[in-house]
Amino acid sequence: MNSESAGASCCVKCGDALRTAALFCARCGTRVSAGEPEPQVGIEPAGPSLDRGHELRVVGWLYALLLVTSLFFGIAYHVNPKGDFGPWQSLVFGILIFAFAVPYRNEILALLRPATFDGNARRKLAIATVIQFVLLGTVFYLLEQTGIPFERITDEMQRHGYALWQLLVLYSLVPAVCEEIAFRGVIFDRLHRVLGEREAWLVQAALFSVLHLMPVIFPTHFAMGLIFGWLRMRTGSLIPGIILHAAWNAANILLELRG
Amino acid sequence: MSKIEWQVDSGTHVVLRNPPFLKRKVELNGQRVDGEWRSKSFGFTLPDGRSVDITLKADTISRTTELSLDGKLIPDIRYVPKDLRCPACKAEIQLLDEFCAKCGHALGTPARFMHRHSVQGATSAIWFLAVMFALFGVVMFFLMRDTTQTALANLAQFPDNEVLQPIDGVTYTAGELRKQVIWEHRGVLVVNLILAVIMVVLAWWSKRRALPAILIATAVFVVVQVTGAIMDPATLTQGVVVKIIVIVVLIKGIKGALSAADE
Repeated sequence: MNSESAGASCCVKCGDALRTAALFCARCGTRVSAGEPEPQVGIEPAGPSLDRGHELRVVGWLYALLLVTSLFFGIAYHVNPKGDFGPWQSLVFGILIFAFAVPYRNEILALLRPATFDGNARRKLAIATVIQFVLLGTVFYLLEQTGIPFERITDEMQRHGYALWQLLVLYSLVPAVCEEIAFRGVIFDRLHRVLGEREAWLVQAALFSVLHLMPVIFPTHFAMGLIFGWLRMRTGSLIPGIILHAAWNAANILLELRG
Repeated sequence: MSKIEWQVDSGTHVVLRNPPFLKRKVELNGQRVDGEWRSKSFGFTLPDGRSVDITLKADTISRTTELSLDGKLIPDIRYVPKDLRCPACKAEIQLLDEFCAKCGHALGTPARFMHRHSVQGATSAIWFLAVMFALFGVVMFFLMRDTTQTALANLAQFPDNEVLQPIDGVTYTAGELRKQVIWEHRGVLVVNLILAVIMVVLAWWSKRRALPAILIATAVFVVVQVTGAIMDPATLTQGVVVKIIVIVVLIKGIKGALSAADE
């Protein structure tokens, strides 16, 4: 009870003093006339067991470790430009992502079940493939026409004598599986609990794009993250995203090799 | 800070005077409150029976002074708007109200004003980053343009297909190197303008939806620092104080937005 309300009538529910001409109790929100608690307008139910801070910390730690790995190998390349670090970087990324996925293995395995790749998933994959290859293919073609020098990932691997199948596994399949499990699996699910579906979709795409460490391609990779995220949301499966992601990476490798 | 004030309600005004090298003093409505500080904490009871605790807190990031009333955190006057109104019906409300007495709108705890303050700090940091990226891009563009012209003049003697001496272990033809040199200063401008635009969009979005916007801004800022360090490890320590301040403000913004969402 505070000094403003002294001497006034009391709330039937909490017993706190009511303000003059009040229609609701300022402490518990109970309607004065009916004595019934009013629905709490403007308050989003958080869920009884949800620790939003913990969910965000998981995302933060996974993301930070992936970044530190990039930094470590980036500096290693700086020190020894001829070093063959590509496979090691993929290996560390893979270990980190799978280690973070272990506590959520049931959720992730459910998204990887072959049964989730049904007719609906195949239709959505076809739509996403057309959009990604036509739209982003055009954007990348136009970017190349401006003369922006892009790093050619295949040069280094060819220097170290890797065969085509090894290039495709290391730069197409492994990143596709690992990144889909990390971004559309662990990160998307954690963010979904904290932010809701739409915002989790946007944030995971942004995190995915900036982790590629090239600001020029942030917008295009953001669009890619949105497409992969859309596939995950609309199909309830990671398989279409992995297929499209791997196909896109493979197409880039083959185009690079063609010159 | 040597003086902190809390306007708990219209009849309860608490002041903590904490001058350097002198004894701390707590005042209630202008009258000194007797009592003892125990481990940086001071407790007393208001005339109406409510208990007040003032606690001085310090961690590696910042120092804060908290006042709690019956266990409920009360923000000091810096955080609380002078004219408190219900966001739904604009009726006058009080700091301790959890619901509007006129329309029943849920207002949350008084600590919401502190969360809002953290979020506003993060939004300001995002605007600051937008301006800094744009300025840095433009300044570096003009600074690097002359170097680019000199490098192009030196390369002019070589035909496009001539293989040059390796640079950092990588072999280029003159044509490839020319292409890269031309983009050196333009690239800095383009990249920084892209980052500035991203930050402007995020600052605008943070007014509507703070948590996702600040999360993305933090990720972008950290990634830019990591990218810079990969290209030149010496940049990791450049401007390290400003970088730490920006990251601390952004993380506080995330915590504030998270607490606000939890309420």
